[in-house]
Amino acid sequence: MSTVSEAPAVRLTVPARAESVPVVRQALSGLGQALGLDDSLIDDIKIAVTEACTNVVIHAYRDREGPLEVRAWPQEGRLLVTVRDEGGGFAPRAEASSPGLGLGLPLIAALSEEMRITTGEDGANEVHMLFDLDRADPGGDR
Amino acid sequence: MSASGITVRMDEGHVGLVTLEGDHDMGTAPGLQERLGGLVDAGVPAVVDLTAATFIDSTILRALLSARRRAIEGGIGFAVLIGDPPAEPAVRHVFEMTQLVDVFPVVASRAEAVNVARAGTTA
Repeated sequence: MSTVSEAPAVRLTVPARAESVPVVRQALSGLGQALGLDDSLIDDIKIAVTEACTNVVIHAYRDREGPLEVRAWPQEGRLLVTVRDEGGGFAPRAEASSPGLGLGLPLIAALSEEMRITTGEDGANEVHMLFDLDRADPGGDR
Repeated sequence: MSASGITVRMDEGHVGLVTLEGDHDMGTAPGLQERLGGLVDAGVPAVVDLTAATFIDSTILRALLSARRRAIEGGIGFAVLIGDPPAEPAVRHVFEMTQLVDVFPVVASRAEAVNVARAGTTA
């Protein structure tokens, strides 16, 4: 997954709060429609980006508010979406009742062509999700 | 995008029907968990109707799993309805991707959902 130097088609910075997650979802859904992606792919992107944003809201900032930045780059036959926070690393809480990272990351991995999580020296964490825009429509009832 | 809502009503057979409309994620998961918990704690079998939901994520799945576990512990019936009419593809897809479609039980007809809930077995 190469890094991109050109400007993203979407760049959205929102506070890392539950209320921000539907905003991000709608933005990516809008981009998907503008790109003419089929509904099932838009659904996958919406689910994956929701999971990534949810992880940031729940785990990135312990006792403070912080930003959540989403960027999307359409590339040749692919869409790269990144979700970034400045929280200094995911340290899943030990509480049994914490929503946890259990289902979210596997869902992202299953829905995207490639997923990568990076942590920078500056404490910025980024989830990279690459979607194949040219994939054959899955068979069955979807 | 339709408005998101969670409504609870009792059907004639004293089964609690919890209907989700619109998009649901971490914003509505706590409310769902609370409503389901209330039913289970009161010994009321529950059917979660997802046929009008347009989006769910893993936080909603987690709320459903949590309610299911409590229902099993209490010997209370619990079922998830995704058919009749068919739920949105995105909603069904989340169950299929996580392979939880085999766990709940997830049923495709209202009659079956109510029967499963009344039977009191969720395994």
